[in-house]
Amino acid sequence: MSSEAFPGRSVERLEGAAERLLEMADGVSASAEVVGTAVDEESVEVLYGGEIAPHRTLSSFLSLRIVRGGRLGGAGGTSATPGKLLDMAISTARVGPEAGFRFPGSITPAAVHILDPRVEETGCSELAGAMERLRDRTAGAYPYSSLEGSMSVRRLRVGIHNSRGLKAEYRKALLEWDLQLLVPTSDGLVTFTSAAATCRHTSLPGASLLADVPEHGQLSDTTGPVSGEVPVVFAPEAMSVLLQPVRVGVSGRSLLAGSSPLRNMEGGQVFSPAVTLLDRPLMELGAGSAPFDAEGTGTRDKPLFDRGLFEGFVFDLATASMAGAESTGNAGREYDTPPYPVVTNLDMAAGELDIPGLLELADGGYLVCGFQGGNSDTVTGDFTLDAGAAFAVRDGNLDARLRRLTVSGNAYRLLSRVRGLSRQRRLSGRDVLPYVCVEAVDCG
Amino acid sequence: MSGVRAGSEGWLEPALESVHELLQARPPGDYAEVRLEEGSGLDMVQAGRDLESCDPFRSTGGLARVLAEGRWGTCAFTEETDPAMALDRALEMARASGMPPLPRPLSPSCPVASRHDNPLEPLAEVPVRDKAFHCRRYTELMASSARGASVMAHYREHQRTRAVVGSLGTKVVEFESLCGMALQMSGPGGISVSRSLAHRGGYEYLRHREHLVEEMADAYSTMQGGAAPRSGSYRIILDQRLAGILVHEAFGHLSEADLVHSHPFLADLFAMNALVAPDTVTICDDATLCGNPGSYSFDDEGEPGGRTVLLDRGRVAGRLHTLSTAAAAGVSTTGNARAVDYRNPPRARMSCTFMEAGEHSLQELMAIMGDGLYLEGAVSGSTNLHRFTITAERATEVCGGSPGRVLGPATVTGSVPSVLGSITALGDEVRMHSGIGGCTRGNRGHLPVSYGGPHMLVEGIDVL
Repeated sequence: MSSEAFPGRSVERLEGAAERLLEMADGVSASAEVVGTAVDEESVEVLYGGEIAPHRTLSSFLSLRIVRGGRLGGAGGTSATPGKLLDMAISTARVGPEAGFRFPGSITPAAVHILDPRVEETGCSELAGAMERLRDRTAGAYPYSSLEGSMSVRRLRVGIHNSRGLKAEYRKALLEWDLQLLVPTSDGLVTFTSAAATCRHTSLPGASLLADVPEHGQLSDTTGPVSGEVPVVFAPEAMSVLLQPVRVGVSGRSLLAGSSPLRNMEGGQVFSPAVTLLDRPLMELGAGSAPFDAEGTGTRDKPLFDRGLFEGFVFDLATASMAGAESTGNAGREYDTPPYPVVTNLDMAAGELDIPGLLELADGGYLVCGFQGGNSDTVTGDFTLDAGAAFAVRDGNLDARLRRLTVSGNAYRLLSRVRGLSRQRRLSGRDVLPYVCVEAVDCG
Repeated sequence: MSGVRAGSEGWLEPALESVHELLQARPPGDYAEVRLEEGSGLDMVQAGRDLESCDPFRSTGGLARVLAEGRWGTCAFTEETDPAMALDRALEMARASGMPPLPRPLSPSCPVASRHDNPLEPLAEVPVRDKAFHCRRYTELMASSARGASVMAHYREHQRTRAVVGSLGTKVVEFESLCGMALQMSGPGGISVSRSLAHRGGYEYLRHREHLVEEMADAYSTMQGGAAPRSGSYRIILDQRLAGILVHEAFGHLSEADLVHSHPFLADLFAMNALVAPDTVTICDDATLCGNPGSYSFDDEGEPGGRTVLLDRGRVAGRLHTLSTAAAAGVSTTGNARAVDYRNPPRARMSCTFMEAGEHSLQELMAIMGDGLYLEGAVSGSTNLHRFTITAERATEVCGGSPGRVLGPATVTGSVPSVLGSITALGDEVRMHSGIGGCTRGNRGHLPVSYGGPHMLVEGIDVL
């Protein structure tokens, strides 16, 4: 770490501001809730010419929600002038939705390990060193490649207070990276991506960038895709993109909007029996892990799909009250938004095959390492995506690189045609995912 | 210089003066600069009959940057943090940096000035319930004109006062007011029609926009039952919004000096003076196009915004620079150092980017094309700097120069060099567009930008 964490007594000052705001809000509303978040972040970013720039962020935010005249209002922002936040919350309570729930009065925080001191103590110099090592490694494989993106360590203190007496807090430190490796070839740029977040110490973030490239010559041996339906193995980075409509579809907000394709599907076989998908806010050192959610409800792990059967939606307090359900402890919020239901860490159960075994299932098809553009409808699940890097699969091995590959279809239907999953899993985003082989994928 | 006025809530002015004094008396490092921002905004979504969200925010803070022995260090902070402490932390970052030093000193022009938007209807003076009323009215109109469609109105506003103080004398203040609305109607079979409008100015811009709903309803009805076009290579005419997105995604990012310098492969392909497009093609970036999101008087290093010709009659003519990239390249900054907000260091980014007009009407372009597709409306666009992908709301078959059947959405892709080289003819009217989002390079949030162009005829572009 470069210097003292949270300098200038910023955490104490934020706590004081949060208490003042709650007291003020309590005086003009039926009930109130304040979330305070202090952030001390150190990051490095690769700049022009490959230079590595260090950056620090010291910030604190308050998020307020009130019930006034039976309606919900809220506001969020930086913390020095709580009175302004209260004025804004009062103005939105005039048009806000009816409050059909009460803030929780107490909490039994779940036991979850989210603070790794080695991450908390990581500073810019360590991050810059990791970026240098990664660049050396990728440049060793591809001398003319460009590594882009950033790595950061974000230390968070999150506290929640409400007028029913709830007072709870936690701290955690997140290691995050968002990296792209661009490799020039005779037919354009091949893109490899690695973007993830975790509370676990990792000696070389982004080391998976070249995980799917077996040897140096592989990129120059190219072929064009054959249009049609073929089996495809999706690497965890690609699968994470394809799961985005599912994240939206399991949200209680989508259920209430009538837009979720999963409406009336509880207990039904939606995906292949090979697919078990869990929401795991109690994952040890998971980036989305926390002992309570953004409105103070205790968190718990839960299956979303058990051997392909849809187990149910995730709710915060507001959507649960409207759906006649209980909160599942899945409220998330940005500092400037009210809570909304979110999945935390997605965990897809591993399969039984090693990667060569999985590739054998995809003989005559393709391996997609990640996506670099296209269009995805997160409501319906329809997508048309360009692969950033993809390879043909022949006899259980990776063959030539595809000069370009477009994959299209529907994420829900795709997950109903899973042929197999790998034993090996990898962190992508906040998710832990295997390689997934899907049959009859529309490619061109 | 006049003081801080509209949009300021009392933090920025004293902070600005104390930072100015500090930097004049005891500048840390070789050069130091502090950007201060005081802002507020509102994000509101009406989905069908429900006001789905109504989220106001205020965000106040700054970014301290110190150049020490040729290396930058930066520290972002919110309002409760003393800017002097942030400068110390930035100096610490600079000293810890492993960056190679800049080869030449920076050359800021050190302006002292201020600029304030004076909208007819300041956003802060329009009550939240009026904004909610408009969102509801537009959704009701959409619902009544396209029965059975899901409808949504998304309103967004942001006003902020932004100041930059530099140790060599820069001291600028700019007040910005931005607002916009996105309207969407969607139905079975993936039919979706949207309109997005945004501008730099007051709320008056969003009143009396009922004609947009009529246009959307017409488009929605013509798309009923329309299948997506078959995959293949087509002659294509892009409408002005799609042409603007192509300009932004396919060429604009390649003009951002930091990006292109990072990729020797691209720097070679798009070397200065290289002929990359027909001589009818000229592309500019212009921060002084007032009223457009992305326009500004001063960039986030305090340098005046200006007009930069990026492609002049088919030849690469310029890049977008910050003080640092300009120093590295041995040229002057173009005033394109921009950041989404005070939490981010400035990078070379576009402002209002457009292709200049050609000489043909749309009908003439269709006649030149003969058979092909006319693409209208934008859903999304992206690039990896070499390949781009753009999704259009709908495609219309053109046969023998006449428009025919309306089809569904179409996604087109191609390599930037090949599409630039395949522009055959251009329309005679440029339109600028923008939306309530913005450019998301580096996943650091939405930076307001505008983009535009004339109708554009392109040969042999792939439809997915």
